[in-house]
Amino acid sequence: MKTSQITKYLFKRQIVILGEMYLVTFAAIYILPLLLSLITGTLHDYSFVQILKTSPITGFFSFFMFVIATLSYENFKFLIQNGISRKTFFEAQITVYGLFILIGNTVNLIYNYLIYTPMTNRDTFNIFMTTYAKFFSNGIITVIFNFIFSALTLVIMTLIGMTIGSFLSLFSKTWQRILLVATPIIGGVTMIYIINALETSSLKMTWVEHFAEFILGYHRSGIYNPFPMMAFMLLISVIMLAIVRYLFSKKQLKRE
Amino acid sequence: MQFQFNSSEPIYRQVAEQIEDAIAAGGFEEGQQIPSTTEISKEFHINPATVLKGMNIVVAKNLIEKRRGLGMFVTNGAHQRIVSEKKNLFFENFVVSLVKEARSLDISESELLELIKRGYDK
Amino acid sequence: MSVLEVSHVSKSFGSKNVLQDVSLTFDENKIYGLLGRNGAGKSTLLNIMTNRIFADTGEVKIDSERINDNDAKLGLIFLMSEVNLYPNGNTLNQIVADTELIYGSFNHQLAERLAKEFDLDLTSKFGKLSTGYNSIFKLILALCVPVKFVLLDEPVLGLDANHREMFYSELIQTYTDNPRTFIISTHLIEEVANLISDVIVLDEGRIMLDQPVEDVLAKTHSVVGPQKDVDAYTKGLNVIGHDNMGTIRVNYVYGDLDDRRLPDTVQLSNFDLQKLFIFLTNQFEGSRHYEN
Repeated sequence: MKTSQITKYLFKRQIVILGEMYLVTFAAIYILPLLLSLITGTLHDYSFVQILKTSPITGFFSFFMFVIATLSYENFKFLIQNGISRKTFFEAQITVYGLFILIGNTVNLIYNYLIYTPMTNRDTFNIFMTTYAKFFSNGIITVIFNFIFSALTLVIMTLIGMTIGSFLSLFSKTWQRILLVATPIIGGVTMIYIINALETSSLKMTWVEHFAEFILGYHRSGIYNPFPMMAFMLLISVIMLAIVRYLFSKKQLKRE
Repeated sequence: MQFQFNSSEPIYRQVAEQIEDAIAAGGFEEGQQIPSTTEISKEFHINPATVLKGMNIVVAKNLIEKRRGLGMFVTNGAHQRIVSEKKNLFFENFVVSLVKEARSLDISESELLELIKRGYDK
Repeated sequence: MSVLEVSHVSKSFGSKNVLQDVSLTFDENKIYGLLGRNGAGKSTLLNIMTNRIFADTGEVKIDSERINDNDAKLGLIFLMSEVNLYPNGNTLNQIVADTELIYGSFNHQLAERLAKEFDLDLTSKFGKLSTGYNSIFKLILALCVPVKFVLLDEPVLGLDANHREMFYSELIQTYTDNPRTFIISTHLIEEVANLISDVIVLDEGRIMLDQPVEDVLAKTHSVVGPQKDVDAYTKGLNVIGHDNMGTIRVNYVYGDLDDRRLPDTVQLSNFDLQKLFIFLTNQFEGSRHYEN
C-alpha cells in the first residue's frame, strides 16, 4: 500500500498549515499590540515578557490540532483523484497527527518546564500540574506522566476534531450549516434541562457524583490520582478512533 | 492527403480503397513511402487498429509493403496490379449500376452507347 | 491482460434511479466510447468505477479484486472529469510533483511537450486557470500517469476547436506509443465515432448497446427508395427509425438482413454511430427494438 507516500504528502501540507496558524497567532498576540503601542505612543507599556507570561502558548497547540483535524475533505478530494483508498488516507492521517502530537507535546513541555516555570515561578501550567502533580514523589516520573497525560488530551482533541470534520463532510453544505447551527442550540438546551433535572432530583446526583469522583481520581486528602482519568481518556480514544475509521470509510465525493 | 470518410461502408475498407485509388491514380508512386498508420489515424482521428486493418488489406494485395524500421512503401508493379484489378472490377462497379440507372430512365441500349461515345469524344 | 469489470451496479439519488443493473467489461488496450445523452448516468458510472462514490448494489473489480480500499487496483485507473479536486493554491508543477509522488512515476517528457504544444504555463496556479486550460492541464495529467485505464469524462468540453484537434491527435499518439485502455465518455459522438473500437450506449441508466464498433456498424443498414418498396423490403426486419424526403423513404434497420431480393429501386448502405445512437436513445416508435 501507499501509506508512506501519503504520510509524507499529508505531513508536508499540514505542517505548513500548522506553521501558518502559529504565525498568525503570534502576529496577533505579540506583534499587533507592539504596533498598536507604537502608534498610540505607549511603547513603554508594551512588555513582551508580560504577554508571554499571560498567554497560553502551549494551549494554542491543542486548539490548532483540533482545527486541522476537522479539515479532511480537501485532502480526501486530492487523494481520491489519485487512486488512494480511504483506508490508506486514514492510516496516513493518523500517523501524521500522531507525529504532530509527539513533537508538539514535547516542545510544549520543554517550553513549560524550561521557560515558563522559571519565568513565572509557577508550575501550574497545565491541567496535569494543577490537578495531579502532587501524586508522584519523583520529579522525573511526574514529567513522564505529564507527557503521557498531555499527549492523551491532545489525542482526544484531535479525534474530536476528526469526528466532527468527517461527520460533517458526509453532508452537503446546506445540511452542514443546519447541523452547525442546530447542534449547539440543541446541546445547550439539553444541558440546561439536565442541570435543572439534576438540581431537583438528588438521587441521581450521587451516582453521577461518584462516577465523576472516580474518573477524576478524587481523594479526600486532596492528592488526586491521574490513572483513572488516563485510562478513561485511553478508552475514549480507542472508541473515537474506531468511529473516525468508520466515518472515513463512508466519505464520498459530493456533487457541488 | 485527401481522404474523405463517410458512413456508407466500414472505415477500414475505405482506408484500403483510398490508398489503392491513390496508387492507381499515381498519387503514390512505386517505391514511394506512404503515410504511416499513426499518421493517418492522427490526421483523421481514426482508431489505429482500424487503419492497420485497412493497410493490411492493401499489403495482402501486394500493393504496399512494410520495410522494417522505415515504414510502408508502394511495391514495384503495384500500379499495374491495382489498375488491372480495377479493370476487372469495372464491370461490377460501374457498368452494372450505369445500366440499372439507364434502364430506370428508359434509355435504350443504343442510346446508352451513343452517350458513351459522346463521353469519349470529350 | 487486465480486466476492469463493472458488475450489476445500481445507483439512485433520492427517488431518481440513475443507474440500473449496469454490467460492463473493459479489456486492456482498447479505446471505448461511453455514449449517452446528458443525464444518462455516465458521470455517475465513472465516479463509481473510480470509487469516488458508492453504488447502491453491485461491485467494481479489476482482475477479480474489488477496488474498494485497494490502493493497488485504484492506482491502475485515472479519471479526468470537470470536477476540480486539486488545491487551488498549488502551482501546476507542484500538482505534477505530488501526483508523481503518489503514482510512483510520471511521464515528464510527454507532459512538458504537451504543455508547450498547448501553450500551458506550468508555473501558474491551478485555481487561476481558465476553463479551457483547466481541462487541458487535467488531460495532460491523465495522459502522463502510469495507469492501465484512463477514463475521460467529456474531455473536450471546454476546449476550442484547435485544441480539440490537438487533443485527439495526442491521444492517438500516446495510445500508439504506450498502449492502454481509454474510456471516453461523451455526448459528442461524431467526434469520437471513428476513434473508438468499442461502443457502449447508456440511456436512462441502462446499457442499450455494448459491442465492438465494427460489429455494430456491420448491422446498420439504411434502406433508401420509394416508400412502398422500402417498407416492403424491411417488413419483419428491425426498423429503428426512418426519414422522409418527399416520396423517398429511408428506413434504418439494425440487425441482420435476410436473403430476400433487393428491388432495383431500393439502395442499401450503412449508417453511422451518431444516427444509431439517436435512434437508440430517442422516444421514437420502434426505437426500443434494439438488438444486443
